Amino acid sequence: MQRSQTWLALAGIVLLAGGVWLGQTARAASVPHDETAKKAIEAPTPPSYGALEGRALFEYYCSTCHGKEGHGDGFNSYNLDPRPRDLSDPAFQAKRSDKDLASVIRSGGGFAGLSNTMPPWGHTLNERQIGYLVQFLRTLKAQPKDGTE
Amino acid sequence: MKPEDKLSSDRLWLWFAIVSVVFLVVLAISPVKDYFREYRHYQKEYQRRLLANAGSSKQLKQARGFAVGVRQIWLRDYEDRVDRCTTCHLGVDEPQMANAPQPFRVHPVTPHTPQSFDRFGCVSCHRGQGRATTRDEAHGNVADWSSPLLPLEYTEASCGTCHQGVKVPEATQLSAGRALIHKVGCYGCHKLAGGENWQSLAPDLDGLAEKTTPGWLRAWLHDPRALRPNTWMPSFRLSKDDIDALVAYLWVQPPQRPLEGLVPKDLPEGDADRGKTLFRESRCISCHTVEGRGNGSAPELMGVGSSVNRRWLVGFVGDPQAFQPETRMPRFEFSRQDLLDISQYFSEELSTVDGPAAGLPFHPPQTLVDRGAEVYQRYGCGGCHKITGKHGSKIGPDLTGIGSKPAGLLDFGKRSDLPRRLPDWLAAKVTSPRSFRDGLKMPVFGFNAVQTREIVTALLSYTGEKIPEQYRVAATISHYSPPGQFGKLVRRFHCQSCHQIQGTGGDISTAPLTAEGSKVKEDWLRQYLQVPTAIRPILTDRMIVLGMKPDEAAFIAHFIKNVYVNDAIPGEIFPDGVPPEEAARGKRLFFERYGCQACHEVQGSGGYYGPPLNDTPKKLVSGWVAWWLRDPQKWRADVRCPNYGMDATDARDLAAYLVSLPTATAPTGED
Repeated sequence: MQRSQTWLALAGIVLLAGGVWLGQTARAASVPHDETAKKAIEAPTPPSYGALEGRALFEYYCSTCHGKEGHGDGFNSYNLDPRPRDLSDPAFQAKRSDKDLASVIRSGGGFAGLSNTMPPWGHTLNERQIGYLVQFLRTLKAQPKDGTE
Repeated sequence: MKPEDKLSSDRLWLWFAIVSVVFLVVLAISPVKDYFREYRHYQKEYQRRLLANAGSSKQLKQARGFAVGVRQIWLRDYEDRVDRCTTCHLGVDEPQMANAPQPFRVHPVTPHTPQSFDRFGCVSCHRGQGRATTRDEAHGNVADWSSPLLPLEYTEASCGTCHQGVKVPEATQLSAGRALIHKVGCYGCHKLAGGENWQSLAPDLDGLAEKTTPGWLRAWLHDPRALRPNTWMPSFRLSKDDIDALVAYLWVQPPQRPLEGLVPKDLPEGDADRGKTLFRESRCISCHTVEGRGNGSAPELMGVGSSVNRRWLVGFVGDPQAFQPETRMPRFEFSRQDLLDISQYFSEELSTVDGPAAGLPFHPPQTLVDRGAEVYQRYGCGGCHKITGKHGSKIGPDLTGIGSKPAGLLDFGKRSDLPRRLPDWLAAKVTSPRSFRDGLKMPVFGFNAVQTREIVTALLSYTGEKIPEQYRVAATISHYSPPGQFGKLVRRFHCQSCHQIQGTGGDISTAPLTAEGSKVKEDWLRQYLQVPTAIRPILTDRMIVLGMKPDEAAFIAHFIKNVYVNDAIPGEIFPDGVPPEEAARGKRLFFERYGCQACHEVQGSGGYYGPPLNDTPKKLVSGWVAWWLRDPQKWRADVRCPNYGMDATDARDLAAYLVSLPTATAPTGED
């Protein structure tokens, strides 16, 4: 009887140890997971597809007037009155919401009370493409002020 | 019961107890392991964000009801693929997660998302291991997983697994890369998808002895870009000995069309000034570049006066196809004097001072010629260039399926600096191909960073994967060749080098001829073919002046007017003259409502982006004008003139205004 009790105790200890070990390995395994997860969450934003497509559309449809970098200096801008504005200007960028920008691209300048020489693109480009253009506009770099740089 | 029996039954109980406990423990391992799974961490974090963002009681209820568990997309008609990426990437279709960090951020809007996650899943675009539920395994950063996650900057490659044409909508980088592969001629050496219709633009190499000098050829083979910065002929980094041998070999190839009997040996001097005027008036820079101006679709001509001898130029410009049967250059109807003057202009003004002197007699020994033949073979020159009677072959490795080659099968050679990833390997291969090991033959193309990314994207798109029929978007290939006498003229003037007819032809001109007959008036067309007025004055690539004879121009105009028509386009819509009130309303619409003057010049003012519209009455069919205005992209999908969404009345009134504009000179009728 005594022997069987010893056996039982022994088995109990072994199981307990096994349980603790299992729990620890699982916990240990989960720690680096937390870390990779943390790293994954903090990873920097990759270059955006929308801005890339937006640049191509902008160069194709818009740059003749607005200029390749949105500075309002495309070759046809000199025939326009009023001249196209500098889209990269931080003050302009801050003033206009994405919705505003999309709306002028879609419905044209006349629709927004601006110049009618800015045509509406809503029947030529789809909503996705207008979205790409807005994303691209947000990547425009302000012109360096002359003399500085 | 004997005492021994009792003892043995006690033991049995004991063993039974132990086995039961062990069994329980084993059973517990799986739930315990599951409890500690990585994805649960993400899901709990996601739920926390949902709760924090919940703005309505409905959203709050949804957030509270968020169930932890594996999520998957099952593509039944795409090889029964299963993607479990959404187990962690929980916010892909949740606009609330626009600014959330990964893995929760909403998927950007693309042609297939958010509406078609269920049709395409994740792996078909991003690659990786769809069934896995840990980050490392799912992203394929594990040994033996052949298809790791595609770096985001190359994702457009995946558009190309289903979309097989060169131009893929809303995949700019991929389209640019595929076009580049065609242009630089990767297909000359490599077997690769998409090359079925590739045609080399490299010149035939017959009869170089009549064309150039050994010195120029040497300099060219040494470094083509030094002579013509815009050429796509790559640098093969040949040794001096190889260059000498190659020059010798090329030197002895007989011409397809000997100059003997065609152009006299001693050419009289021409008038360079007149030649320059002819060069300008014929609009050669619509294709050739001179002094930085030109479209770049044909060789740069700076230095041509010293690289190509004048006698050959006279012969070639007079009849290009006789020398290069597959050239895109048309035959201009130049007179003998024109040719003398143009070639004089080349020798006087388009030659470099330190250019190689006129050809001295050069008779290379046969041994050198034989060695040159071997060099020609070794570097696969025949992949792009032709020599009559000799067959080139693709000497580079077969690149079928290169886009999905496992990194473990790639030869990194000396490049221990590179990450063991396919995109990095490809980028290094196309930028510095000789850096992998000694003795490699691939030339250096000098791609910049953007071109490298484009070309790697395109290469990654050729996975060799078999795509289910319902997913495949095949390339549209058309081979239209105009018939009969008209066809003969079209081929002689090489109209299709620039213009598309029924989808076949070059893209130098933006004007397809498929329905030209519905667009223009016959008289205007006939005159235009003889003396093309500048439709878009600011473009460098304008309609060239071919010197068509009056009867040829009349024949072509008549044929186009009667055959290249689209029945959906109305003809003249003002048979009884234009009602003045419609024209007056059209004028107001033109300037005040639609702002057409932003791009078009009318009566001396306006933009110069679109064509000036002053000659509309002589040129365009009124019905076409109204038809075009309602949807310009119906004419050609990439037309830049926007569709204003105007109604039929506005379009008609605008057409009324335009076709009643006062014309400067009355149509001459006969010339």
